[in-house]
Amino acid sequence: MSSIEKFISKPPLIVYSSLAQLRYLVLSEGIPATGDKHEQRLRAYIWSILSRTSMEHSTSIYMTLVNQGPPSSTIYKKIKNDTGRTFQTNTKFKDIVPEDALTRCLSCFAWQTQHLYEEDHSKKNISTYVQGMNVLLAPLLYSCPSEPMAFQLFSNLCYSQIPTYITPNLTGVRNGAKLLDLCLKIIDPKLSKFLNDNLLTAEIYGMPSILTLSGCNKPLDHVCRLWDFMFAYGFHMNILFIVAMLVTIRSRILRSDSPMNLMKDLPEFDSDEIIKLGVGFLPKIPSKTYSLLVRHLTDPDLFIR
Amino acid sequence: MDVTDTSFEEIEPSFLRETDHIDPFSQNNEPKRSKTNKIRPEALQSRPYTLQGLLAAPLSTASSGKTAFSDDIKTQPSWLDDTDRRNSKLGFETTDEEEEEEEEDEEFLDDFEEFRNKKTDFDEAIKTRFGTFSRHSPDNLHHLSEEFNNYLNLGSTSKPQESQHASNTLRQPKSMMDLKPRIGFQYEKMKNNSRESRLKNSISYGNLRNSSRNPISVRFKKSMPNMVSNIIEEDHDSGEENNDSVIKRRNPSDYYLSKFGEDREHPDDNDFIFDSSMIQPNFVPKHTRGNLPMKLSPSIYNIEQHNNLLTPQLHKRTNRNRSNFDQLENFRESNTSTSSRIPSGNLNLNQRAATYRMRTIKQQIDHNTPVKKGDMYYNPQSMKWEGNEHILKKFDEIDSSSTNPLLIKKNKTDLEKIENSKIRSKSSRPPEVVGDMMFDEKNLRWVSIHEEPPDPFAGIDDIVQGQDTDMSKSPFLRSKSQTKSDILSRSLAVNPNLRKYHSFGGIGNKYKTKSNYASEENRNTSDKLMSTYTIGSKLLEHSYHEENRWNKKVGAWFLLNNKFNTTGNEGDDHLNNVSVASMDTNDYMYEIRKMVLNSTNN
Repeated sequence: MSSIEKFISKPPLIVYSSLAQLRYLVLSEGIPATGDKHEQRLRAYIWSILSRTSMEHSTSIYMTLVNQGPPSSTIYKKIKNDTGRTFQTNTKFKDIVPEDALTRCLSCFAWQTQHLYEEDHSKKNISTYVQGMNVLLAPLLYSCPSEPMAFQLFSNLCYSQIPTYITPNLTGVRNGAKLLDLCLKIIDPKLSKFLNDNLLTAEIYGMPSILTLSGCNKPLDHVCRLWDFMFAYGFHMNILFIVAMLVTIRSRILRSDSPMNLMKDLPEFDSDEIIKLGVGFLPKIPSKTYSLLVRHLTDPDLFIR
Repeated sequence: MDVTDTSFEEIEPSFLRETDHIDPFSQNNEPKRSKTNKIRPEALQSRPYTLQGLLAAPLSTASSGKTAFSDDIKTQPSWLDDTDRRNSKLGFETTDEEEEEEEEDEEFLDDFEEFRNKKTDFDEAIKTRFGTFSRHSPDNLHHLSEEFNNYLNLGSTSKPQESQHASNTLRQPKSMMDLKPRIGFQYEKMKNNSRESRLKNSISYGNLRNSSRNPISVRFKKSMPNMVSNIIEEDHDSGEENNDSVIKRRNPSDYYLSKFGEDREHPDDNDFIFDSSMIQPNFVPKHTRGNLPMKLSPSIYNIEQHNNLLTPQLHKRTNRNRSNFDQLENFRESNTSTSSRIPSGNLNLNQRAATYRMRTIKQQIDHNTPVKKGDMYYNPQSMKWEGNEHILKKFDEIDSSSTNPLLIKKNKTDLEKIENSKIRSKSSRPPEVVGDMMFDEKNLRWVSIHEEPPDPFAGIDDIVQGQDTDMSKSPFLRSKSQTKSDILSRSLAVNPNLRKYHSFGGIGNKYKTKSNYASEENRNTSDKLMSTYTIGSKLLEHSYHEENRWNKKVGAWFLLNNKFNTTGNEGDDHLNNVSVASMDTNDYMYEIRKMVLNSTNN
């Protein structure tokens, strides 16, 4: 039993400080890669603790939503269109996560959002379905021991962690793209200039990685470890991690005749390296920019030029 | 009268008394008992004597504490070896010493014990009691004064021999109340040496001691608790008065023993040698008694094969069914036994009455008691009466003999008689027409001659299979895949808050419309949808299991959910609490920056 598992098994004395300790443990030791059911559970437990997602009644909530069947045909078609393509080449993922599970979870989220809207019309800025949600959901289904738990985490992630990302006009994602440009300019001005010269803004190349919180990148196990960190310290770090990914392949981008092809499908990354790099960028990021990074995930009124 | 009070006071005296006065009585009784009772001394010795007394009293004399005393006296003496006796005496002495120091209650017991001594050994009792008063010699004065003081201490002013039980009733703790008077009564009887009065007395006496008095019933108790306990109880109810006499007839030794106001049931209780013949109720004829595998428990033993092990109900029935000769045999047997002991016609009548009453035993049917009645027997496993399956064969014969169904045929003849004038066509062969209606033999229904009957299902669409099964499933029968309604009802049961936004019917309707919409569009798609949105019981079980596991492992992190869950939702009111995190809750997002900046600054 790893020390992190021992730590979460003990009831926390003071939740606030225990959470800080858990974050540090995630940073220093990390959660072992998803090898078996046991580690899978451990990851899901830690994610639920860090995101403050209670799994109590998760099954009954999920079953109630599943019982409502498919959402409206347009949403269902959109969902069905995307779920089939989710990590199509990843056989390990396909073995663990059936397409039906993705469809069910996304349908449930659509129903949930609809009910939420019916109850409170001020929450209309959250979409029932946004393209890319399937990829956002995939690592959760991949890491959680049960569908209801994955759905609960997904629901919490969307509503609480990145609510601006799933609005109909993707305000948060656009702001994220602006921030990605900004951060790249701060950290690697040469690469930033090169991309600008090729008219490659983050809104062109970075949207998938921003929206899916790097979930679209390979390999999935390293995505999960990246998420470990982001569940601990915040998903705003995703922007810096994307910068780190670009920096790791900067020489190839700079040499490439068609950098867009390279950046559209980023090569496999190493989570440890990316985390080290990303955290290393922090001192260079001005406080104001950093607070924008934090705010852009949740502040619907934020608009970055 | 029968106070089933096995209080501590009841138990202790019995112990005291038995320890004290073993010898005289045992000397009197030993020869008889050694003949009549098959009791092994080893068994007695194996148990600590005192414990035996204590245990025996409440167990065997559930109806009264009195029997405990009388029983124990008989039980112990002759077979106890020296060490046991010594132990018992020791025990007595210590208790005696304690009593002197004890409070009034203990003194009561002391006195009671003294009294009991007299009662137990009646010869000695008479000697000591009456002798004391007859010869007021100076030698005995000291003893008398001591005794008198003793009574004074107890607050009793009455003379001992005059109102033994009267004083006792005053003095006794409540539980003793029912004991003492009887003892006194008995004492009087013994003085008169009158058997008749003894018998009368035994109305109450026997009542108290029935279960242990009757050696047969004692043995029953041990071997077949289930059946026999019922029988014994019924005995008390029905044949209370006759019981003593009946028992006496059965066992001559009982009569002699009764002289001493005691009986020997306790030895039986304590150390019981099983005799299969003893398990037979007397009303079971002799020839049915055989070698029975009695060591088997009733539940594993196929009782139906052994009529004599079946319920009394059955015996009653078989008695009736048996030949007259057997019945006569039955009576003769009892006649000889009675005449040998008590040559009285009255008792014979009594006995008949007793046996008659014994027949009317009600037997409670439980899983252990197969009941047989005539050819039928009750199968406790299947909870069915069996044995008349052949009756059903009649119906098979009827079916095979006539091609036309029985009821329709009858109706046809009835119709011919009643509505003869209306029948147009009387042709013997079908189709049969009555009025405008024609009988459709194939479908067994009346149809109109003129037009095709309208399809009653014309306006109703075919129901999608999955939905149908969902709605019609019984909640008690769990199908292979958990149905949606099941899931819903279960989830609602788990989380009643969900009812806020989903009523049960509402969801069903919504679901229906969706599936209808899908089925209109494409059947195949709807089937696909069904499979997608149907969660199997295995998956559901797994989900609940994982949820519980989570709760067990890290549930403690969410105990103070309200205080610290600023960003997320609460489980029980999930949707309402989903909120967009505000800025001030994002402190942790600055944590990493602070850490890194601190480390670089240092």
